[in-house]
This record gives sequence, structure tokens and C-alpha cells, in this order.
Amino acid sequence: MTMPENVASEYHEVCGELDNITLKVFDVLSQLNETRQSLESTLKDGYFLMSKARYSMGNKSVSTVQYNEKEMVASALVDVYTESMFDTDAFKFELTGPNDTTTAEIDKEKTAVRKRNIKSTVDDVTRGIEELNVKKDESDLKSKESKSNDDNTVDPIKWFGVLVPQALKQSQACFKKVLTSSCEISSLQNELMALKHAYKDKMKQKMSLQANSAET
Amino acid sequence: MTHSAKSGKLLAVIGDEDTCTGFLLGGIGELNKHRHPNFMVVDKSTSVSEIEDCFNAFKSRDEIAIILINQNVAEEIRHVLDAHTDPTPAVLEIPSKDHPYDANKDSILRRAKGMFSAEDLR
Repeated sequence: MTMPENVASEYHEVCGELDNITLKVFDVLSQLNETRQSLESTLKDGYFLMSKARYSMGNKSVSTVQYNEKEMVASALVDVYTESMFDTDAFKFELTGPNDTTTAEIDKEKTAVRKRNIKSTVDDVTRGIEELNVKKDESDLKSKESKSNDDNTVDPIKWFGVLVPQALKQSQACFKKVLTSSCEISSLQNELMALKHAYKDKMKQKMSLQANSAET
Repeated sequence: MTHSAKSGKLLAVIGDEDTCTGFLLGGIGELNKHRHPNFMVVDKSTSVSEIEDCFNAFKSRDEIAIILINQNVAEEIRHVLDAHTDPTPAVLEIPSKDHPYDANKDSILRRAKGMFSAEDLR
């Protein structure tokens, strides 16, 4: 079968794109498999630790009865955006909370050594430090205000008591980790479906080029 | 190339007590203005139609981006999951405490499997 030169170049271009899509599909599948495995092992740990907490707290202490629907506000939210690949759009998901860094920062602030009265011999130096401290205090106040505005959620672990076993805290950490993996897997699944559509379109294009060249 | 889109969407969960408790501990639980939760606890007494209705309700809520569902629960409403082809909300099948995950049953992976078959190109 011989093709006109312009059709042949287009045909080869389409074949190249099909190859690229196929390689990308296998790449996404291997990533999906890897993330799935990590999700499964983390989830398994989460279930095990929850059972451990239930064993030490009592059978009915970790159940639906403890859900506090009055204070139920989601701290883990998802950002959705689209990413274009091979002429199609794939939806991607990214977890925006729970923000572990802010809690770590707050803990750090609580445990940090407070400002102390240190006498200095040179007045200019102390004045300079005082000015700097005032500025720092102002900025700290502003950041604390913004944090308190954002932080209207109650940690769900408090539904189960004030002094909960360590196992329940660890279980919570596992489930938080699972949320990140879930977003990754959902993104990869959408990417896979987008690649499927792109492959289908290119395959149709290839077939129509073949049919056209056969007619001529 | 990325485009900015909606932020602050929710995750929903349909599953057994432990799955729901775990994910609520993770901080996904929320009630909307109509006091409808974004989770459903499935037990022995829950009927298939109830699960189906709940899934359809989650699907129609704009604020939900991902629906997490236990694979054994997903098996019961497989026909509904197979019919759902929209990219959002994304449906993610997860293992439960008693039932391990089986990739051969996953709706998305089954769709991906048929990618290189001749039937799919028609």
C-alpha cells in the first residue's frame, strides 16, 4: 500500500502519538499499582490500630454513636483542577488539608522558650531589638488571628474522649495518609480514562487515514 | 499544562462502620445546609436500594469531588458504578476490614483493560 507523501507523514505522526499514549498508559498503570499497594497497607494498619483502640476503650467506645454531627466540619478538602494531555483534559485532585504543618508550628510555638529580660550594656542595641520585637509581635498577632479564623474545625478524635489511647491517634494518622493516597489514585484513574479517550481518537484518525489511502 | 479550577471540595464515603469512623477521624465529615451528611454507614440491614440512592445523591452534589466506597459495597451496586463515566465525582473502590481489594472487580481498571481491544474502537 502506497500513500501520498503528505498523508504518509501525517500517518507516521499519528502512529508516533499512539506509541506515546501507550507508553504513558503503562507508566500510569505502574504508578496506580504502586499507590494502590501503599493505600492498602496504610488502610490495613489503620483498621488494625482502630481495633486495638476499641479493645482498650471498650466495644462501643469507637462506633457511630460517638459521631458529633453538631461539630462536624470537614478539615480535609480537595482542590480540583484540569490538566491537558494529548488534546484531552484530565481532572486532578489535590488534598488541601488536614494541615499537619500548622499544628506542628503551633506546638512548636507553645513549647518554644519565651522572651526573657536580658540586660545589655549598650542602649542602642536594646532599642533596636525592642523595635524588632514590636514588629515581630505585630506580625505574630496578625498570623494568629488569621489562624484562629481558619481554625473553626474540631479535631474528630475529641468525639471519642479527651484521653484517647495512642492507638486511636495512630489510626487517625493512617487514615489521614490514606486521604492523600486516595486523591493520587483518583487523579491517576482520571488520567487513565483521559488517555483511553485520546487513544481511541488517534486510532480512529489512523484508521480513516488508512481508508483514505486505500481509496486513492 | 494546568488550569485553575474549583477548590475546597469534599470527599464522601460509603462503607462499613470502621471505614466511616476512620475517614471521619481523618477529617472528611461534613453536613451540608440541608443537614445531609457526606458519609453512609452500611451494615447488614442496609438494603441495596438505599446504597444506590445514597450513591446517586452524592453524585448529584456539586461539593463532592471523590466518593470512596468499600469494594464489597460497590459490588452490590456495580451496575450503577459501571454507568457512571463522568470524571467528577471520582469513584474510588477501597478494601474493607473483612474484604480485601480485588483489581479484577474494579470498574475503572476493567474499563482500562478493554482499551486495546478491537471492540472498544468501534
